Amino acid sequence: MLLRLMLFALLSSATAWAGQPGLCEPAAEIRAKLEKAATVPVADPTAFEHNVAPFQALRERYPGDRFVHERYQDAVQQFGIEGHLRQLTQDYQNLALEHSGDLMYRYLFARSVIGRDTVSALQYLNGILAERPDFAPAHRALAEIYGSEAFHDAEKEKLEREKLFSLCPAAVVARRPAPLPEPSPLIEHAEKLFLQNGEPSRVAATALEGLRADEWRLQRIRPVDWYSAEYKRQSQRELHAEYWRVWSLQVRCYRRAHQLKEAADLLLVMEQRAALLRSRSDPGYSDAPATLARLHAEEGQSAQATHGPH
Amino acid sequence: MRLKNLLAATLCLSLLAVLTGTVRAQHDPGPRGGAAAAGGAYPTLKAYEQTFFSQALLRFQEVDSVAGTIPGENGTGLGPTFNGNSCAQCHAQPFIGGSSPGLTSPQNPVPNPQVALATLDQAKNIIPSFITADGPVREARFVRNHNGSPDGGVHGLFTISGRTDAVGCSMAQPNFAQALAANNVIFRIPTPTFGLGLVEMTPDNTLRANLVSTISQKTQLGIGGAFNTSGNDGTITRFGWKAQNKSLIIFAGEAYNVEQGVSNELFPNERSAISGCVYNGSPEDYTNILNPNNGTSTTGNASDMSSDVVNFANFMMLSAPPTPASPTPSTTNGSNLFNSIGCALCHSTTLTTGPSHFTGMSNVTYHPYSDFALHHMGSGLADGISQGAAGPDQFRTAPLWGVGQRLFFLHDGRTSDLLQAIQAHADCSGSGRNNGRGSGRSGCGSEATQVINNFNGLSPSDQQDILNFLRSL
Repeated sequence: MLLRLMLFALLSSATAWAGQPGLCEPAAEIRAKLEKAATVPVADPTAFEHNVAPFQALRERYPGDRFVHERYQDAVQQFGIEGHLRQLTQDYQNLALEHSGDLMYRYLFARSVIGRDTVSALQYLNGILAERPDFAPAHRALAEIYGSEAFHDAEKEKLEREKLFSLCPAAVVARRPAPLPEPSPLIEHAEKLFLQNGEPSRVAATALEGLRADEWRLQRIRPVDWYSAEYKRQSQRELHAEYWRVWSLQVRCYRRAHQLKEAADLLLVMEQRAALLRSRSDPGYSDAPATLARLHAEEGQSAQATHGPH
Repeated sequence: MRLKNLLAATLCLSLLAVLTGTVRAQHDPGPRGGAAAAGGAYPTLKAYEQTFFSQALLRFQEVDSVAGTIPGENGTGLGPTFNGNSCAQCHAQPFIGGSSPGLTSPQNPVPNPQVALATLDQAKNIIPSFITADGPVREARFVRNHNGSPDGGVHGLFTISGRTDAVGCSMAQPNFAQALAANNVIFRIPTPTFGLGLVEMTPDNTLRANLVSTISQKTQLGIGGAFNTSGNDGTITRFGWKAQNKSLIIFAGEAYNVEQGVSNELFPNERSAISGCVYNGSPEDYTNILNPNNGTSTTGNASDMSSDVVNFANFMMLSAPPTPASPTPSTTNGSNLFNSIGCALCHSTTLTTGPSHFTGMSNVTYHPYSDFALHHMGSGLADGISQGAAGPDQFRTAPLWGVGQRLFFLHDGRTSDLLQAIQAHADCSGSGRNNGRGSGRSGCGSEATQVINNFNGLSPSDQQDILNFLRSL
C-alpha cells in the first residue's frame, strides 16, 4: 500500500512537471511582456542600466516567474561586466538560500554561474536532475553547455537534447556563448577619414569611440570561461595594437589642428610606454617602434614644410 | 676706545637681531645634490637575492590600468578609485622606493605625477585644489563621516570614469571642496621605503629596550612614547605615519588596495566596488600558479610566481638604507647637538636587527633616526585620525635616514623647509586638529616642545650645523 502511494506521488509529480503548461514555455501574458521588453532598442551596449532596465522591471513585477528570471539573467550576461556578473551570482545565491526548498531558485542559481564557473554549474544542474529527472530547464541548460565549444561533449549534448525534447518538444536550445560583437570598424574609419582630410577632432573622437567599443568587446571575453586563456591573451594583444594605432592617429590629429604641444606631450607618453615595454621584452612593444618612427618621420616632414625655403 | 664702543654696539645689534628674529642666518640648505644615496639592494646579499630584488624592483615600477589592456600599463586592477597607478610613481625621490617626487629634486625634477594622472587615458577627473604640479604627492583622508562618527579612511582622489579601459563606469569623485570647507580632510605623503627590511627584522624587545633606555632624560623634557601594537598578537606595529601597519607585506597589500585600487590576497575586497566599475575578479593580484611568462609552466623563479604584493614587500625588505654624506666639521657638530638637545631621544640614532634569513642582515647595527614609537605632537600637527593605539595627535617618530634628499616634510607635506618642519614640532598655530582631546601637556601638547625650545636656544651657527647634519643623512 505504501509503495503504491509512493509510486502515485512520484507519477503525480512527474506528470505535474511534464504537464505543467508553464514549464516549457511562458504564459501568454509573460511572453508578450518579454517580447515587448526585447524590442527596446540598444543604442549603446555599454549602458548597462538602460539595457537591463526593462527586464529588471519585469523581474520585480513577476518575481516568481522563471522565464522572466532567465531573460533577466541573459540580459545581465549580455551587457554586464565582471562586477555585474558577480552581483548576479550573489543575488541568485541569496534567492536560492531564501527559497531553500524551491528547485526553481536552485536552478536559477546554477544558471547564473554558467559561463563563470561552468564546471560548478554542471555539477549543480546534474544535482537538480538527480532529484528531478524531468526538470526540463536543467536538461536545456546542460544541452547548451555541452554544445558549446569550450565544454563540448557531443554524446552528452545529444542525450540532454533528447530528454529535453521528450519533455518540451518545442524547446529551443540556445547557442552558448552568444556570438561576440565584431571588432569595431571605427578605428579604420577614423584612419580613412584622416586620409580624406577629415576634421581632426572628429577623427580622434571616432578613433577613441572605436577603442572603447573594443575595450567593451574584450569585457565580453575576459570574465567568462567560454574562451581559452590563450584566446584571451591574443584578444588583449590585439587591443594593445589598437592603442598604438589610436595614439598615432591622435598625434597626427593634434598636428593637423596645430596643437603641437598636445602632440608632443602624447608622443612623449608613447615613447615612455615604449621604453618601459622594451625594457621588459613585453610583446606589447612590437607595434611601438614602427609607430614611433613613422610619427617622428612625419614630424620631420612637417617641420621641413613649415620651415622650408619657400 | 672708539673701536671698543663700535664693537660693543655691533655686538648689541647682532644680539638684538638674533633675539628678535629679524635675522635668521640659519636656513635649510635644501635637498642634497649628487647621485641618489639610496635605491640599491642591501650590499651583503648573495647574487640570487640581488636578482630577486632587481625583479621585485621592476614589479614596483609596473604601471596598472583597469584591465591591463593598455600598452605600457600592463598591470591589472587600477581603481575604481585610486591615487596613483604604480608604486614607483609616488615613491620616487631621490630614487625608486623613496618619497614624493617634485620639481625641486636635484636628482630627478618632475612635477607631481598626480596632475597628469587625473586625465590619463581620457579619464575625467577634476584635480583637487590640494594637488598641484609643484606640491607633494598626497592621499586624502576624511576625519569624520557625515553623521559625525570617526572616518579616518583614505578617499581616492580619482576614479576610472571616462578612461578608455573603463567603458560603462560612472563614478563621481569625492567632494573634496566640501570636505576642505568643512575642515574635514587631512593629507598624507608617501613614506620612503629604503632599508625597511632592517626595521622589520628588529625584535620588539630591542625597540622596547631602546624606548626605556633614556626614560629619565625623556621625563625631564616631557617626552613620553608608546608603541602601536597589533590587536591580534600584541606585537609592535611599525610602518606608516602612525605605525599602523604590522609588516612590510601588510603595508604593501594595504597600499596596493588603497592607493591603486588593486585588490590582493591581503586585502581581497575591491574598495568602492559598484558593480558597473568592477572589471576583474578578486583578488586582482594573486600568487601565480602558472608562470605568467608562458602561462603553461608550473615552475618559475620566486619573483615570477609571487604576487605583486610579495614582490613589493621583498623590494622594500631587501633594499639598502640611505647612505649619508661624508661628515664635515659642521655636520659633526650638528650631530653632537642633535643628541645633546634631545632630538635623538625620539629620533634614535642606532638600532640592531635580530636574526634574519637574508644574507648579512642579521645583527646589523643601523641608523634609522627613529624609535618607531608614537608620540603626541600637539595641536599644530594633529590630524584628528586614530589608527590602532595612535590617537589624533600621535605620530610615529619619522625616521630621518635619507632626509637629506627628501623634498617634502611632515605627514602632510606641508613644508619643504627643514627648519619649518623642526619648528612645527612645537607649533601651536598650525591647522591641525585633535578632535578636542587635550593631551595633558603644556602649551600645544607636543612632546617635542622642550626639545624645540632647546633648539631655539642654540646660536644660529649651531642651528645651521643641525640643519646641515640633517641634510647629510
